[in-house]
Amino acid sequence: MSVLELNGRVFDASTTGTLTLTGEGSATTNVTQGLAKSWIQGTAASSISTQDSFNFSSVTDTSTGRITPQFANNMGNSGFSAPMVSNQLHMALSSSSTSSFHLTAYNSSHSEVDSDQMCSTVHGDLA
Amino acid sequence: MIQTPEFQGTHLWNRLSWAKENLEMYRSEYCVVYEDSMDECAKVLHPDPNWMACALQGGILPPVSSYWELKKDENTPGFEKHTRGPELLHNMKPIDAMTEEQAIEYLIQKDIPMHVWQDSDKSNKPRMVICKKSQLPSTRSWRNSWKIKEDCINTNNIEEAA
Repeated sequence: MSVLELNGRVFDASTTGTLTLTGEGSATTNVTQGLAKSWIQGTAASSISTQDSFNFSSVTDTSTGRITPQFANNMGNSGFSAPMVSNQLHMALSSSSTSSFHLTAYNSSHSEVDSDQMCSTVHGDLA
Repeated sequence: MIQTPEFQGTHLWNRLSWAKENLEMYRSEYCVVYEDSMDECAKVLHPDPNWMACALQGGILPPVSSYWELKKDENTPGFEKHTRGPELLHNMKPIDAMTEEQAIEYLIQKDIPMHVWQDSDKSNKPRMVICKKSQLPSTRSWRNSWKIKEDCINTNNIEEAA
């Protein structure tokens, strides 16, 4: 175990690879758990294009409004969080596995529609 | 070209972090069109530019068979979480640099269902085509009707079957 103190905030890296730091009050925060494990920003309009990303190997254009990003480093289980935004009215996470997840964008009529801009961030445990 | 550190035993996620900071994205002009269900329209797989950079660089990615093993584990009844990540992804010897063509082939085997690519040359009609993005239909008006052309032999276009 090694400990680093910076301006009174203590970073504590355990031998298991967990990194914690002092949080609010006397509590400690598990940094590893809080890190985004993947993120992606791109367009799914005239064609699928990834502007930038981290920890993805591909994006599949499944149909109108639907895309499937595939992880480079799988998640440890399918219970991860993948909040997403787009320029459409709302988006949905329709299903997920440890290797990918399906995003669908809907317009105000609740029809599936392509998005000019979309982005998503994934939190959870890595495999 | 920057030298890849010795990464065997390093968490894959940390290798990807190194690549993100040190490698230029590579935007492939190729994509893979495939049909995995008769009742659905064609799907189009687009390689990720950061992943392509890793593939071309070499020494970062695990063998594709690691992903097949993870898939097997996930399909096992009672699966809750992966326990073989270190063995399959992080401790496995990383593969060498690939050409763009090899990288696309790797990606097909990783991200497209096995039943699509395993016997793709034995089916009555093509189920998978590698093509340039410029060969895709220019409009998405009929996106949900896209199908691979019957006479397509991996160099042709896909059509709007609407």
